[in-house]
Amino acid sequence: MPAAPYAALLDAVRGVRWPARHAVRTTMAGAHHSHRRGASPEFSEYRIYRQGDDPRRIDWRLLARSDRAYIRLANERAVLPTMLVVDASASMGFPVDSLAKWAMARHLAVALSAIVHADGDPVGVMISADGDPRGLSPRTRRGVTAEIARLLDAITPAGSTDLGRGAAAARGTGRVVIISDFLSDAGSVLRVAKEHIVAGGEIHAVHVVAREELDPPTQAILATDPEDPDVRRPLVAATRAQYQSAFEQWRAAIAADWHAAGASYTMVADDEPADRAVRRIVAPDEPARRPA
Amino acid sequence: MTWLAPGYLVAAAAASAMVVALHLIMHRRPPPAMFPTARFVPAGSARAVRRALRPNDVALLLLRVGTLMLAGAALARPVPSPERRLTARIVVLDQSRAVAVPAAARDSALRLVGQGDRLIVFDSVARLTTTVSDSFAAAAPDSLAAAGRRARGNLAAGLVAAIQVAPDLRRVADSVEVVVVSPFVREEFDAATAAIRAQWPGRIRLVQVAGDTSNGEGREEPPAIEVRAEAGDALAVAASLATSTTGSRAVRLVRAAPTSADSSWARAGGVLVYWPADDAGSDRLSSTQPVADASDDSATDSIGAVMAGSAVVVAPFERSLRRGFGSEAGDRPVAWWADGEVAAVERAAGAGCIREVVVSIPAKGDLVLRTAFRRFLLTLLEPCGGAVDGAPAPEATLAALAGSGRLARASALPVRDEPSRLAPWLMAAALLLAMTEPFVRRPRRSE
Repeated sequence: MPAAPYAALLDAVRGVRWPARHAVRTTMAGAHHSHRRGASPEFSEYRIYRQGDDPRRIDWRLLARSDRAYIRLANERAVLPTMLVVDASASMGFPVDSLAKWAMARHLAVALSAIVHADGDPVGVMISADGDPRGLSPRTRRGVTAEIARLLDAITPAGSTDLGRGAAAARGTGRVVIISDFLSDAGSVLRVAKEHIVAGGEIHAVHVVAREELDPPTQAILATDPEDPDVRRPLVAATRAQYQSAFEQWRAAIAADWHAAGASYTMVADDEPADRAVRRIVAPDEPARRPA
Repeated sequence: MTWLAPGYLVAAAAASAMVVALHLIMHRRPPPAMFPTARFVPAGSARAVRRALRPNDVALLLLRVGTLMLAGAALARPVPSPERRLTARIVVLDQSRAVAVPAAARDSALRLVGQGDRLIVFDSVARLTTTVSDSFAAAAPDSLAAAGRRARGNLAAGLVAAIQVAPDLRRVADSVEVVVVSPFVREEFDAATAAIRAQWPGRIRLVQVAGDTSNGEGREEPPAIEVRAEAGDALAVAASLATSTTGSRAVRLVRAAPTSADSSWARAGGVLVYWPADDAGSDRLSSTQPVADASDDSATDSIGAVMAGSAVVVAPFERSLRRGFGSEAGDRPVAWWADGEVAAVERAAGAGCIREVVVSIPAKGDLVLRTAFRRFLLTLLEPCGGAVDGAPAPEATLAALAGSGRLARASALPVRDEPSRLAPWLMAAALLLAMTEPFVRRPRRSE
């Protein structure tokens, strides 16, 4: 069982379903609409029997009525393996005293893994931290959520990371969820995401921001980037408005880029209830636009 | 305490106020804090400016204000403020030959001099200017006696000294009074007396003491002259015509270098006039040498006139300039060339005096026969100290000297630039404080 901090969250998201945004290409039977047509009970359409078709699929009643052989087609359902790529760079360890961004990222990852597992889909995690990415490959075994929780709890955000490598490691997985603040090389992970989408995959970008980043404190500080020590700028009353405007513009650009790539983009503040954020993430939005 | 230049103090106070204001504006680096989205903060100076209710770094503030105020105080030149009174007095005491009883005149002067007043003693020059204190009053008689000389009095010299010392009393009194203690005889007044009197912006109190009537009242006694010169000497002829051998006043005129007997005779009370027949100079009387290079055009020149007293002789004199003639201690010029160079000096010798004259008499011509030359010669044959005119000065002259109206206001006197003894110490203290600022300044916090 996952640790106690997650118990309330998991109770809150119990019963939440996360359907695939489009037909999946996997072959294993699962809960999601499959790209394939099969012999499942869910009738889809009739097709003229062609040589080579399984004769057992011929609809004999229709044959009797029409003197023509038709086979019955039905929608297949398949699994959708999901990989959670979690950013564990130093910028996620903010605020320093509460690590609220990292806490939100962990909660989101655990909650989403529980939802995916409840759907019967394989779920794994790739933690992009200082050094090589590490995590769990997608699996459906019982207790995978607890494993993911333990793995995340053992991590302290530090250093800088190449999120693109983490996302690339998840290539091949049907659905990739990237939980990050996108302050480290957002371009590389977007490129990997685009490749994944073009290949038929599903990408969900979850942008975690701290409330203090959205609404910085009023006392003057010398803002220091934890991943780039050369960036040291005074955040004072005179520069506060300019900072908020620049940060908002950047977030809007990030969102536009992800949407344009055909991905789902959700911004989550660290003070938002995690279950509400999860519901926003899994909620179906407008049909994903595949890039031409 | 009085500030001679209070403007500097005001400037220092203004500068200190500015420093206090600057310490209320905190220019300092804000504390560093981890902020992942720092890249979106506009780039700028890593210093934040904000106003504070309390001054920043009080110790440094006090140090800077102290430095500024000490420097300002030093430049403002503080001087102790003496006790101010209504009237300060400058007593000008005549101790010339015109005073019958110098001690009595001295006592009259000392009765007038108070604590902080000034006393000037004069005869032909003003020789003593002393701030009167209790110790001086006790020693007055001896010092005055030592300072006084029985020479011809010159009121103008006394008044000039009084005018020069008056600014010293500007800060100690509201008014300054000049009191002249003198017999006020005619010979003490000259052409400059009235002009110098006009420089004093107030009335003058005249305290008349008894004059020495034995000096005569303008009667010119003919000298009994003894001339030692070569036969046919033109000056000897002129002297014989102008004087007699039976006068009451012994005068010896020598054309060659004086002998020891001549000097002894002069010390016994005679008037020895050494009038060289040529310009070789007299080593006995003067250490000056004629201009060495005779071929130098500046060594000899011609000059049109020479004067002594009121006698002026206009003639094309040939003159050999003698460097330093008349500038030795004890020399009293009695004749001048028209360009101001000294032509004759008198030196005291015991009870008498020796006069040296460097006016060359042309061998030819009637110069020595002219009336003007005769008067010139008689002036040079006057008794030691010049002819005595002990007659009292006219009332009108005394009235003009005394003047009328109020005493001179201290504010009308010129400001004397006096040094401040405190200023160097104050400036040193300011510099010392300034040098300690680097140690007091807070170390920059590590980033």
